[in-house]
Amino acid sequence: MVREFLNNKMAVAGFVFITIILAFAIFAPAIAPYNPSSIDAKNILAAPSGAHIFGTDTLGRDIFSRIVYGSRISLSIGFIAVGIAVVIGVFFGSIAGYYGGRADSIIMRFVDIMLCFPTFFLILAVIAILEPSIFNIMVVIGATGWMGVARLVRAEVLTLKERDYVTASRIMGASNIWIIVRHLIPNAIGPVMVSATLGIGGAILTESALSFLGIGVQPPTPSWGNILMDGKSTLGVAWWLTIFPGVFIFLTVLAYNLLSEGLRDLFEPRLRK
Amino acid sequence: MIRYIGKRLIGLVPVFLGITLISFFVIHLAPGKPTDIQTSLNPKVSYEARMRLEKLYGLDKPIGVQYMGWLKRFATFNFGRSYIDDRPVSQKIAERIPVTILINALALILIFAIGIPLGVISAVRRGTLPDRLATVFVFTGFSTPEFWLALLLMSFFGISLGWLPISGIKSLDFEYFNLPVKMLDVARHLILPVAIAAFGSLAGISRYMRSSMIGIIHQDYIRTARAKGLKEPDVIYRHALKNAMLPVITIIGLSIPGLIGGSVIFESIFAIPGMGRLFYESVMARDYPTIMGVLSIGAILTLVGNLIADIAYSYADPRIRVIKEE
Amino acid sequence: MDIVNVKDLKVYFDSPHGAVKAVDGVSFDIDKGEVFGLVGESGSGKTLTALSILRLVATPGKIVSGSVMFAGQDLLAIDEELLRAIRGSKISMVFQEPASAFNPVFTIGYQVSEAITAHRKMAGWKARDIAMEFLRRVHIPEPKKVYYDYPHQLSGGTKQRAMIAMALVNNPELIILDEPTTALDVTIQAQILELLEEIISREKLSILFISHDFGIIARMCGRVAVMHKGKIVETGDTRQILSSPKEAYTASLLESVRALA
Repeated sequence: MVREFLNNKMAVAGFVFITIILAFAIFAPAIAPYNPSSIDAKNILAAPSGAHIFGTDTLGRDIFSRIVYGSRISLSIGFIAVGIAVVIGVFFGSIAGYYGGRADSIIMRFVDIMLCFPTFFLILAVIAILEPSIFNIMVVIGATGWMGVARLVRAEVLTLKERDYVTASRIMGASNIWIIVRHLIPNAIGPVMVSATLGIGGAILTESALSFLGIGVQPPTPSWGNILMDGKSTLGVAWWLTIFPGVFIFLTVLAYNLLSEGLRDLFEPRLRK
Repeated sequence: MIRYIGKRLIGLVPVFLGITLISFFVIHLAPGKPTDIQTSLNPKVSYEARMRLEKLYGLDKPIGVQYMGWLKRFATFNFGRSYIDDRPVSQKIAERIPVTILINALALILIFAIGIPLGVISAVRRGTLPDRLATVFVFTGFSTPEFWLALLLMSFFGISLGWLPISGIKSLDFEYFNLPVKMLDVARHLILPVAIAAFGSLAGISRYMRSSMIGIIHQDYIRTARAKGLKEPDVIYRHALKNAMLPVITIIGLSIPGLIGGSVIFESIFAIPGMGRLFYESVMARDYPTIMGVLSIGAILTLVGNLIADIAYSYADPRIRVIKEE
Repeated sequence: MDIVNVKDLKVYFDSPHGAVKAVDGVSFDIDKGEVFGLVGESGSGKTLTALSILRLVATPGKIVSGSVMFAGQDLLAIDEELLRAIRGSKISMVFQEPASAFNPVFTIGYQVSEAITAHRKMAGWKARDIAMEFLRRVHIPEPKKVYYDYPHQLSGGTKQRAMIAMALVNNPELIILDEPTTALDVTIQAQILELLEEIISREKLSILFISHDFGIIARMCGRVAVMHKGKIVETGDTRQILSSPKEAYTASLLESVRALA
């Protein structure tokens, strides 16, 4: 199976890139040449040069260092938000699929209702009420992104629960929860992982949009999105403020999307070429 | 089919109630009274406004009664008065909705007009260069942050090339133009916002259309069409396409909340006086009545959009439109 | 006089384990006016053989070699446009599953009319009248109403009659029937076979009849070829093969049929 994955060059490229960004995040102090918060009034809006390979921002801070530290924010928000979404989604989806009946209708109705709210609106509203903090951002993105996972898990459970090993377990006296946790969920993991990797990309996009609008990660904590916020006001004057953070967001999300496609080819039956 | 529509409408009632419940929940998320943090930390809010808000939300009454009050207000679109300028929220929203709807409707048309042919060509010429290019385009579309793309386009088309205006929906000397020039002016202002709005969803739709077509092309009835001696274009564009489009209608309906939500970004960047920008401004100013109002209206718009997509689907698919006679 | 000569037909599938030889050197001739049967178990390659005649084999299958002579031309070699003119007009085909053979979003009548207008230029209403006439000829009750019905509204038997009508509208010289009754109820099967017998005796058609059911083959076909694993095992007069099969495989095939009967 690993060999099949390695055959997919794009997915491998994505995986490699993510590892690089992960390295950025973990070893940020070692990689970043400057302290991301250190202001240098003499070097405001300096173009990229040997000293500052990505240039400096409106306060003279080194953009490359800010991007390196920003990877911590983007990745951790991505992972945790999706983690929350997956937990909620798996919970609701497996219950709806396994127990069926009223529980199923109620849960699916809940999903439909949640899907009626433009997600971005909902996130903005909640963060406006609760005040932007990294924790709140993670929770809100997770709490508004579980619906797809729930539907997926429900569909998988519906198919899987008729399988023989489930019936066998039941006859042997296993409790429902045991069956769900030990048999059904592990087998449904494939599509969930595909969805989760896509979700991390989406969470990064959402977080950067929030930070760009000023309602996400607050400066001076660097996030790729809030660096771009400065990019807006310096449009046409300091291209490096706009290009570099955006490229990083783009490449990281692309990497997750490619990885997700690679996982999809692994887990799901292939269409004949 | 009227019966089908009726059934769907009835099914919407619980969803509507659910929307009111969730928005009610959102209002009460803040620790303490919803009015406390909003008003005491927000120096712009006067004492009168705070008292009015408390009365509006009926905060002295039990939560069940509060919800009923909210439900009643929701149903009559009474969301109170804005903190910023004390005007009724519903009025402010009503002013801004047309622009947002216009841009999103145009974006939908664009998505339809480009996404579907792109998907069909990808499917028919599967594996060849056009398909590969289209796939690259799709992945780019999925991965690009909308606001970044907006900045890039603004910088390129607006500043460097100076072709397109980058703010508002009309130029400063709009009033002096005659009608055709007025229309052209608005159109020029809308090009970039509509393009941004459509971009992400376009990639998704074309991908979906591609897989739908690929699935359809292997169906038996396509083989029958060929066996009858139909020309290949007729086989693809008459027989296959009509079937492949059906699920796409549903997907387009499902992308409406995404479009509405995305309007916050491009309306803010391009200074478009629409509902999204109103939402952004109210969020920054912590203008809670407006925030709740726009959130609720956004959900209702989605509901309506889905209903229309549903009805369109049931009309297009003869298996639903024409009931089997027993 | 022969109407179709199939010579050394080979249809292979690409697979990770090498080529799968689904049809491996099949040859037979169909006489003008005769009902020729092709019998075998599922997977023997009979449907692929039939599809190959009209070059309807879908990837990953590929017609690797062989020839199909019809009216002095090799159907496997001629231009796509020339072949298109033959499909549905000189040679037509009836498929096994009537439910999936019709496009669900068009009316039955529209699809039958399409078969007409694909080959002859005429006004829409004229094609409609001809289509309705053929629907009547295959004994569909209320053909004028059924014309405007969608496939999902009709029973399997009615749909199969409509498919037969669709195959007849352009007065073909050869009709290929691929298991036309397999997907139908037993009672409907009998009706369809009666309809086919009526058509065969009335029109002067040549028929290639494919089935896994030796009983049906015995009823309908004068001559038959027995297929097994992509090759033809035995060809000959139906009654003769039934009474004294030359090959061991044929004998065992007949045995299993008799055992079930």
